[in-house]
Amino acid sequence: MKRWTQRTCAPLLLTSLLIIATTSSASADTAIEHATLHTISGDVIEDGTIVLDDDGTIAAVGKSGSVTIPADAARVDATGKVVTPGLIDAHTSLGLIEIWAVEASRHHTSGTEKINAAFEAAESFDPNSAVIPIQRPGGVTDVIIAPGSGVVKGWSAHVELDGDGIDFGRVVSETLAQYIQVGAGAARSLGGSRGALFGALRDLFEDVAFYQKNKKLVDEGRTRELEASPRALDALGVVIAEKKPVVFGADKASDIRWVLKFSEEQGLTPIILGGAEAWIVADELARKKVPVIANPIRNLPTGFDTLGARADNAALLHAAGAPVILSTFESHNVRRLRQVAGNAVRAGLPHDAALRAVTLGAAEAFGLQGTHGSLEKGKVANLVIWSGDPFEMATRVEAMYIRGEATSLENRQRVLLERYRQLERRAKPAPRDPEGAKQ
Amino acid sequence: MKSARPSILLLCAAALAVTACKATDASKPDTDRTPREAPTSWPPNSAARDLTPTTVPHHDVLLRGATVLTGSGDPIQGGDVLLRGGLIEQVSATPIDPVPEGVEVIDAAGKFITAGLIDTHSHLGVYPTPHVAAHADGNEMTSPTTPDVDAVHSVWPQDPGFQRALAGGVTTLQILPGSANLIGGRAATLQLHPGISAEAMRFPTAPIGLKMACGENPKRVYGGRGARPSTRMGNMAVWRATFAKAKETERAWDEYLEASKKWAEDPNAAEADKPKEPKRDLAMETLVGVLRGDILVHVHCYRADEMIQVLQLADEFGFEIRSFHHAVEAYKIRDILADWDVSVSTWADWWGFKIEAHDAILYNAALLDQAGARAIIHSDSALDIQRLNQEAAKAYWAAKHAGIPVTENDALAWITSNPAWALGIQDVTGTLEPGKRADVTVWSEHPLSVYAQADLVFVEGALEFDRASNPTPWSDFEAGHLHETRTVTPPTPRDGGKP
Repeated sequence: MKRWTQRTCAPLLLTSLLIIATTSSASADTAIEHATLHTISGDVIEDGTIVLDDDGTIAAVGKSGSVTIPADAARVDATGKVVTPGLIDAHTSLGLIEIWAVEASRHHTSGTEKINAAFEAAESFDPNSAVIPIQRPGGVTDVIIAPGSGVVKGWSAHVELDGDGIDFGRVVSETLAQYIQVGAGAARSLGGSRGALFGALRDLFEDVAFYQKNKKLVDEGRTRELEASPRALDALGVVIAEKKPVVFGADKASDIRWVLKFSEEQGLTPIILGGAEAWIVADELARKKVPVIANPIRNLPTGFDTLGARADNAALLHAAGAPVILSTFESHNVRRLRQVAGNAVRAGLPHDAALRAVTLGAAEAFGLQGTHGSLEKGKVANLVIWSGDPFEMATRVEAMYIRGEATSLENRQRVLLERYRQLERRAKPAPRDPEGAKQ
Repeated sequence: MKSARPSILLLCAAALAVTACKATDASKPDTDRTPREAPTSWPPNSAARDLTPTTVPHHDVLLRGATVLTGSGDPIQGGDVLLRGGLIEQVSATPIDPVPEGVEVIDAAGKFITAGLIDTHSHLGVYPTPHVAAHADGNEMTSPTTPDVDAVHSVWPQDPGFQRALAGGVTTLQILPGSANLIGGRAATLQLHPGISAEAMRFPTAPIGLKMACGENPKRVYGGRGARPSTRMGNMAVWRATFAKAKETERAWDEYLEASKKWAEDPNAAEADKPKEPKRDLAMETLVGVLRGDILVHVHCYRADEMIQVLQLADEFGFEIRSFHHAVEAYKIRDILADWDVSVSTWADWWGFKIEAHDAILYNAALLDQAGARAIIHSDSALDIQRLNQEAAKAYWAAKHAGIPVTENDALAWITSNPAWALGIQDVTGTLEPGKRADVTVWSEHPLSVYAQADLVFVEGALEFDRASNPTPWSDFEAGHLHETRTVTPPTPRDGGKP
């Protein structure tokens, strides 16, 4: 694990946060007792206790009384509270964009190229971003930050949202998954039509294999023109060699079918992103165990790729047995993840499936299930104490632990609230008199 | 609103003048000319005749035994609501008995009833789905001031988003032009009946709105072309010049009407002396409507300092701002907004997309409410309009948890009675009170719960949405498409171990 200390931008306003955001101090074991524990990997434990080791992992989980609590552990009484793994938002641009319309603060893309396989979102990530702490009161401890431009977009990274008051996030893994966009927009950009796009992608993957075998020829310039830069071809070589997931942005059912076929052809491990019409292909996705990252709030036919968009997409996929992941697809409102999940439940997804979709389900799709996504002994201690049902509007995050340490829930919006809770130095304004100032 | 509306006064004066003329004529039988008619009102009536009058099939129902969140008083447990003839006839804490003849009784035990939700800020119809270039009709980006355009002329009534909004419990919404222009044009308040034309969806009696926009958008759009405005000071200068011109137009018409009245009253005035009507100027006529208080002004404005400037502009030219929209910094000037009785239409949590939206906080609506200002949660989104109740809930609970004293009633007012006021329809809708329109939503759970579904939605007493009936799409665009090919009854949200 790598501690990121780069400080590409240090807005002055953050200085006021330094003091309040520093909450975690000496590392020690923590025991959270008498909570309803949603382990995700196993049954819900009523009156459960979970012990967080000072090495940042979960030391024990079980029924209260059956779990050994170290003598020096800090004890947190969570009677009546709900504990879940920290939520994971599987598709965000958090920390890549400070303010959308301020071009200089937008780093999720890779310029105008179409094949950007070597682009690493991790290298654009700003761990100091003031946007990050604003997401924590939504119960999100982990996000996947994804690249955002071209047809082959590059590498996503896994980021944890802990922070010591200066850095609010850290990159856990830098080359998590690769991203390929299909659909009408991508087809227009590469090839000119859907069919031509898949053709162009086949050419590209042929070149990936060609380059692996003929690096010397290519380096010496004794070769045909290739579909992408050597670095991009290398990155895709890593995808194949290490069986990294490939996230295909695809909404239309026909595109999803071709993605499945293409992935089989090329030996890729696909994940469907968006998947507005995935419910139509639900049985096939279930059979092939291909996960879909969906947002159930998106229920409108926004274009001709999403004519079949519907609120119960996730519910239908789940009912068919396909793995479902829920995401906000946001940069600034990752905190909405629990609302997104609540809306999936409202549209028919069982509650436990929705909770899984924003924890272990997301972890599994990206190969993080060994360390993240559930409350199990030995896993990373990223978890949240909620006042009630995590998805319900009235519920609040009472505490968040990342790597076993309590993480601050303070943020810039809270600071602004305190600055303006009382309005100071105000006299009564001029009276409202429509006739008064009339010309 | 102004205390006296010149247009109405002139109308009365002119009517008297005509009567007086007739009397004069009778006493002077030698004058055989017909009574003269002076123009009586301003601006000239440009309303076309109604080609798409629609029938509203009232459902006369008694909603029995629900928790009734009236919006005007305390919640009633186990209350009855009687809807008849398109109106709310009775709201009762005790069972209404006997049931009036012809009234269907609907068991609403365990349900929650509110007034239909109202969204002050929507672009449904003007930026409809599917988002194809040929449908982008929301911004007339050819001049920074286009008060002559009317959003109702861009509304595509087949936008699939209308019915989705209805399914979210919304009964009324204002459709505005976009924010590219300092003055974007007229806005229209619609009610969610299906309509063959936008006019057929118009909310009767709702005043016309005017959309204005501050800040980054107008200066970016026009400054980017090397045109005015390219700065915030340019924004103000163009506004001031435009309203100064509107003042001239108002004056010209006042003089014309006054002269016409005199001419009509004067039996000796020659036909040739009849005052000539000022040249029509549709743009200025809209703004004169604003100056006279007939048209309600809605201003897209994020920053506190710019809202102050807009209030000063309004003060200088003698009109009023009905609602600031988006207004993410309104909490910084909530005392002034309360004092000047300007409502604020804002989001719960959208922020960060541009620097003027950087200081948004979750507590905006609640702080405004606490200060006595009228807070409104609006959507500006075809998606969030489907869950305004959740958006209000987010803002409400965030504030509660931060120790700001707001109540559930306040939060519901943000999406019912306060937006009704902003749209000038507070006397006819927005609360569950006898005599108001039967704009009513029946919820499966408390509407501030994420799991609440709008089960029944009545608009003017017509049951326009009934979740259990698995409604077919209104939009012809969706007819025969995928939504109709597979219907599913999802499991109830209570399944699956919700804690």
